[in-house]
Amino acid sequence: MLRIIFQLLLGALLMFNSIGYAAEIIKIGVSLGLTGGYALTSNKQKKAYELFEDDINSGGGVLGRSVKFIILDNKSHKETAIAQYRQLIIDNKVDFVIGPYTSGLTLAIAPVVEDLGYPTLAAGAAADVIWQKGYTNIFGMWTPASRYVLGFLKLMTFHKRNRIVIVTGDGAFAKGLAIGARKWAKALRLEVLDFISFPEGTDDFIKIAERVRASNPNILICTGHYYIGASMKRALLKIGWQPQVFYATVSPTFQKYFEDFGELSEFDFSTAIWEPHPKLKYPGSYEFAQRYTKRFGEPPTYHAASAYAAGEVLKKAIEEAGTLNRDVIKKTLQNLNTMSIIGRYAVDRTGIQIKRFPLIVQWQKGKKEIVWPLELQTQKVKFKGLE
Amino acid sequence: MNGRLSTILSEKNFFYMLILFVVIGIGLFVFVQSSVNTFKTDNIRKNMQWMGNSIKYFCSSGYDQLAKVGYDEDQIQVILKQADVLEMVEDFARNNDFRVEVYELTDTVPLVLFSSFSSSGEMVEDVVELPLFQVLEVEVEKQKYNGFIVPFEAWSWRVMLLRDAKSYDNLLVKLRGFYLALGLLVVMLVIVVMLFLRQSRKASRILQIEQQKLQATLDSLSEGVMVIDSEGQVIQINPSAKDILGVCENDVCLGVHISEILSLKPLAGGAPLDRQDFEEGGGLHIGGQSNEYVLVNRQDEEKLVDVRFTRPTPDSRMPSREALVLSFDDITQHRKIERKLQQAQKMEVVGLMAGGVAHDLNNILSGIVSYPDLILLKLEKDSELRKLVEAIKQSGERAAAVVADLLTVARGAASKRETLLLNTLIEEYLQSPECLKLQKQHKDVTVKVRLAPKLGQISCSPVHIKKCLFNLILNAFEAIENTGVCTILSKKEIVGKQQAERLHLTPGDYAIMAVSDNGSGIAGDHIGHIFDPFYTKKKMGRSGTGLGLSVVWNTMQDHQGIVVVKSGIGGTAFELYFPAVSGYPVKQKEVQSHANLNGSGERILIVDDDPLQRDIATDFLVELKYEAESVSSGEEAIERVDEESFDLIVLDMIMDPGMNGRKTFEKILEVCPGQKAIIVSGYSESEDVTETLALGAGGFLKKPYSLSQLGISVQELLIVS
Repeated sequence: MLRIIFQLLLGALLMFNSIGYAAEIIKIGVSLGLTGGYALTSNKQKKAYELFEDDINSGGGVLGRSVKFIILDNKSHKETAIAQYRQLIIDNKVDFVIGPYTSGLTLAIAPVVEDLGYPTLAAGAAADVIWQKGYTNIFGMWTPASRYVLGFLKLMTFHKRNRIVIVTGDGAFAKGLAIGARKWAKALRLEVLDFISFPEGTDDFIKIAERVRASNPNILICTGHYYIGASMKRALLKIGWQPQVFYATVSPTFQKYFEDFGELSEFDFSTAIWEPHPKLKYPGSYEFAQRYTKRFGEPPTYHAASAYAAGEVLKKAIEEAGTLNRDVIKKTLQNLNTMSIIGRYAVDRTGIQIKRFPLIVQWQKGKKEIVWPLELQTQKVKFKGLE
Repeated sequence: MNGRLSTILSEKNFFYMLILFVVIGIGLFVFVQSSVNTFKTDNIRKNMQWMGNSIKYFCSSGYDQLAKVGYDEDQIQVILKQADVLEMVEDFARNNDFRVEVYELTDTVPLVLFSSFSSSGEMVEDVVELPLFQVLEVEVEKQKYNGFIVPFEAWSWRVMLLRDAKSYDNLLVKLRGFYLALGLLVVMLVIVVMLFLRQSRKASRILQIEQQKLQATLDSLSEGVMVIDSEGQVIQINPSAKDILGVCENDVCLGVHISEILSLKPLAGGAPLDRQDFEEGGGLHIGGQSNEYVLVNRQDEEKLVDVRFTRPTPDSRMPSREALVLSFDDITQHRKIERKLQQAQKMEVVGLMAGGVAHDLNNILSGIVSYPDLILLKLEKDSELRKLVEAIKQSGERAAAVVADLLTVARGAASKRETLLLNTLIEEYLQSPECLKLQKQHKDVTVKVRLAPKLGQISCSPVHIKKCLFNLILNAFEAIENTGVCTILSKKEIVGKQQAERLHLTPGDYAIMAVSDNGSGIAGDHIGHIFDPFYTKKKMGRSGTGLGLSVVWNTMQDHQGIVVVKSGIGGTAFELYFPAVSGYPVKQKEVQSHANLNGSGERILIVDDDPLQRDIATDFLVELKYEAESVSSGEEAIERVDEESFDLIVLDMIMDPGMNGRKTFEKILEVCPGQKAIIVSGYSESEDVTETLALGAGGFLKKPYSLSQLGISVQELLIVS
């Protein structure tokens, strides 16, 4: 009798064990601002994660295990993002997390992942300050914000455009980027006529635009997320004044920018971490763009590509480590030197990205053209009135 | 281990060691602090130098690249190249935890061309004046930095590397923390060691006291105690054990195998105990019961010992090795005393029997010894009956002598003591008719006399001493088969403590009288019985009643002396030890004729329960011209004394029934204080006699007495005293 009971128990144990083994997937958690201020960018990243999940699982998963993304909507709020990363790690017991979009949210959730020991790829953050706080679990995917404008400024130096006004929001990304711009402008002997900082969320761009006009710069650099660049563009149009060179971060990289401004977007500059251009010979880069566009009916931005690339880097780290142990993965990410669809990944001792270089893009005849660096140029730079 | 540590770490030593540690600790701290500071400075300098060289290399490379393509004069190209170089410099500085500021010298006014600070606006003052390639202390935005300036003259640059001056502070903080922790640890260690030492000393003191108590207890035991381990090695021994074993105080016993200092042979027979017996304990009766062994000690003396073997229950206070405890008593003397006690008990039994017989015989003999005197007084000098009566008297006297010997054996020589010169007694006896007669009977025996001069005197009963001499000389003569020598000697000897213990004497001066012969000696199995009454091995036909040596033994007992017998094939020697006394010898009284013993009609009351004794005494006293009256009991005597006064009372000691002589005399003294009395008894002097004499009785007369003996005693009391 006892023998039968023992055999039944053993059978049950093996059955549950096999079920548990079969269900052993790698869970990756992400919190994105799918609604709210960062919805446009965040939704592109969400789509990229979905595409990556499908791609990786169809390719056999990681270490023979399938991957499942758990993506939560933080409504573009810091507190929600913080709570959701705790929820993902403690309640959902995800194996890994990937950072949210925007430097501000990434900076906010950094203490959480640091405390809980989760190595995190920052797929949507570039503010230098993130890597100046001593966190050891945040690994950059993007060029630091302070270098975002450098290529553009070099281009301006080369073309002898030297009178600049900088307009920036006070968010981590925007401010860091603006300060970097000012720093490098000085190094390039460019004259910064005015440096205008305003609280993010402001609506009064007309006033700012008038202040810019008062300085009469030939270059306007506007730093911040999509709405800042777009709002500034609208304000300038409203007051009927345009600088010879308009540069904005984020917004001109979107197709929507062209859709919003049409021909008025001509000659506007921006910085892109990646572009879906066949000239960029990164492995899988062009294919990603094709499949993304096909699946979602729109071309991907560098934000989407960065999300996909973060998945790729994490996969390579796991494969190289041969384990899901987060301490080992952390060390692997610190020393990893690998290619992704957006280019090479490697970080320095602070975790800041050191291998990426930004692309300067310009809208020319309804198309985003790469104008810097010269080696990847798709079109020569053009200036308003000189075409 | 603890004891040794306690000794090494005495409080004084510990204090000095503590001071030494503190001094070394402070010195070490200063040294390490200084070393860390030097290390810090060197490291900063080397690091800065390396960084500076690297940056200079970046600059040179950029400049060279421009020069190579001929753009070194093209300002735009130069600015763009400088930007590339500054990118590299910034990356390099960040990755090495440095900050960098690049000053451009334009007309000697420095311009901050580039700052890796996120919000730089401040400028290091007089940067142009600062020395190059040296570690500097600078302050930027209220924060202190170590600075290092590298020039790149081609571009008129001063590249200043900045590193937080506190970057090595952590090391110093850790060092101080380490020393603080070490200091606390040392303090705790000191406290622990102090507590340990105190506890250890306390425990050590307690242990020492316990050991001292144990040792004192062991030392105080008359019993020998030894503890041996399972390998037979002695691990504890007390002085009594050493004494019994004949081991000197300084001899090393601990750690020695027991078989080297102890040799035991079972008294009951069998092989002596060997090493294996002690180590394994197999042949031993362990459990505390007594085992008698013959022990041969270091001085080759054989001793009879009572040994007990016990194995204590092992506990924390005992050695881990299985121990065996031997406790043993030297019972040699005990056995001797036991034998003597048995002898004394035997003598007492015999004496009781003999005493009872003697009392009755003396009373009976009184008629035979006493009446012939009266008959001879009344017979004509040429009467034919005189010879017969004298023969009766001699027979009676010989019988009385035998009875006297019996009494000596029974009650001892409890006669009145006199202080006399032993040599005089010997000489008197040797000149006595009795001795001369003996010598005449043994003509083949040569008598040699060697008397030590200035021998001194002894307190003795002369009659008994002479009787001893008689018996010993007689035995010596009879021990010699044909011709031989009988030696009589005296000597003086001081008996020391050890000899006194051995001989059971009180230490002091002794006068020794010895009689020896060169006869065949006494057989070994007989020598233990020679003092037994009626024990004799003399051949038939020879003299002796078997009481001779019993008399000698009892006499010596009563004189607080001893008899030492040495016998072998060369003959036998008896040595009589008498305690020497101080004082002057008394002169012997001369025997007077009974004509001079007559009284003058003094009234004398005779008290005796025996009618024959009353008659003899009455007849003697009347013959001696006294007025005699007799009563048969003490009670009657008291009545008579109460009614009339008497000059003297002749009082028998043992009267039955009724009160004895002592009680009668006590009552008489109550009625008539100062009453004179003579005590008479068929026994030797008893306690009652002694007490009565002490009450005031003037003399003691032993039955049977002669006319002259009674006359002398009465005259001494009535006239002389």
